[in-house]
Amino acid sequence: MSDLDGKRIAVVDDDPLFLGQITNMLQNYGGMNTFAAANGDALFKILDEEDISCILVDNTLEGETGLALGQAIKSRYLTAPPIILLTGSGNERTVQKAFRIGFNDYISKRDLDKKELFWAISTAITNRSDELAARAETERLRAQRRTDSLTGFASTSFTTGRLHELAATRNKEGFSIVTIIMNHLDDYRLQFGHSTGERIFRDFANNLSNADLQGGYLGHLNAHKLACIFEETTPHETLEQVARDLEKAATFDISVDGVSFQISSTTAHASFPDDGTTAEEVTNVALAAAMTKEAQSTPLSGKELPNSHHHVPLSEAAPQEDRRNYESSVATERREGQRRSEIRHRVLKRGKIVVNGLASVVDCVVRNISTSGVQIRVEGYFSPPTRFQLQIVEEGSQPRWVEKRWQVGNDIGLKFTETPQ
Amino acid sequence: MNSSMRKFEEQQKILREQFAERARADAARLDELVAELPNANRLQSLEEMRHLAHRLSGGAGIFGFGEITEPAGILESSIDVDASDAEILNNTKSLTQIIRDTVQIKATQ
Repeated sequence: MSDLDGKRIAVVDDDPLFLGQITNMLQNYGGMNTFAAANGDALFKILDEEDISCILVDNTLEGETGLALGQAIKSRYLTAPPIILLTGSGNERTVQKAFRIGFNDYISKRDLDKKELFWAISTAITNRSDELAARAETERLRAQRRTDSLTGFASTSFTTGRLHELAATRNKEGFSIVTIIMNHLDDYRLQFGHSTGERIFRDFANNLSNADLQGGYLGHLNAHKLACIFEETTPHETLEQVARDLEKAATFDISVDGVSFQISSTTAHASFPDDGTTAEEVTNVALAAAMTKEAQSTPLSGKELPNSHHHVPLSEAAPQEDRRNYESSVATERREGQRRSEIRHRVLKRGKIVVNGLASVVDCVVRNISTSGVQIRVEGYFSPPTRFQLQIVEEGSQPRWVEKRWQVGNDIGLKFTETPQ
Repeated sequence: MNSSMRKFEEQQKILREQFAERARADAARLDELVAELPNANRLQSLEEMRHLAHRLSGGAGIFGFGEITEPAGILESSIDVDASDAEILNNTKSLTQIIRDTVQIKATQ
């Protein structure tokens, strides 16, 4: 019995004599089960219904080429069986094209040798099997990888698995965790986009690595919730100290695409078996405490970052023909003024969009102002929240609450509103 | 000889005879086509000749008529490179002669 015994081979050839000969050879010499097809349609029907180990395709088919059929197989089936091209001449260009398309091998019909054909089929099946096994292993390792690709900390699967192990194997021997949550991350992701959120979180994680963990190590409880794991019984004071160190390390300023963020975190700790008798219980206690603290925390009142903003130079904000045409010229202004209750005055002043109480500050240019509203322009595309504070820097005034009324590209129309209660 | 080998040999014999029969018919058709080449639709005739030569070249080896493979391949290549009618005529005659000689002898073996 050979390794090809029982393998299911599909053969495509529009020449019935060749088809008969090759299937006869495969069945009676190699012990394989064969499925004959005269064209691509017949092959697809077979592939849809049968579990095929390998496909042999003649390159010269009526109305189509084996190369084109191979390409169609590859695009139709994600995990297509290996394909071997049978060529009349085996010329170099055909062979090159075949390998580029993804054929596994080729055999010349002119000097077809049974042993060579069987060897080609066997190798193609083995290679395919190895490839699928490697793919499965990669998937398995990816699922069980020990480190997170964004932060380099222990991955979620490793961390949670390890906590389960610790809880299952210990009786009175304890372990502890300090959970760390980056404050306002969800808000940042919502307002500034996923990639900005990820960049900030990566920097957040990077800063956490500077903390003195006192024997613990950092891991993920999920994508954005982190924990410092202590596999030994750890005194309460040590946990408090590590929590403070982590919060200190994770308090920093960062500027992403001209937007300044003041980053901070919230921590909480829990221990096994005092706070829970399973890994989930301990984790949930620590996470819930941290999340409650985060919810109670007010937006940061940190100071404005002096140098990290990218200011729009006024020279770059030269007057341009306005798309809305309500302040493009004095004459227009006058005409508009007759229709408007308040005349808008063209100004070119530096402004600051203040979100979350100075936690995020975006530079802008104030282009028009009236008693009821203001038009601003931001560099790069930025969509502010519906309500925020605007500070006109050169007037030295206090930030005023505004409401977004419209936005066309980088131009934003705002209405002054009352301070929210 | 086990049963599957016997089955293979039996089927092989049938297929071989069918191939021999078809090869003889192909040879006759090639002679016809090459004779008409100056008068007929040249491109159409050459395409048919190329197809027959390709089929003979590919099939001969596996049916045990290896002698046919090379001259059939030469005819196919000469058509592919748009050789002169004289060269195609020569290559066709060589091929059809070999088919008649070989098939006649081997098909009965």
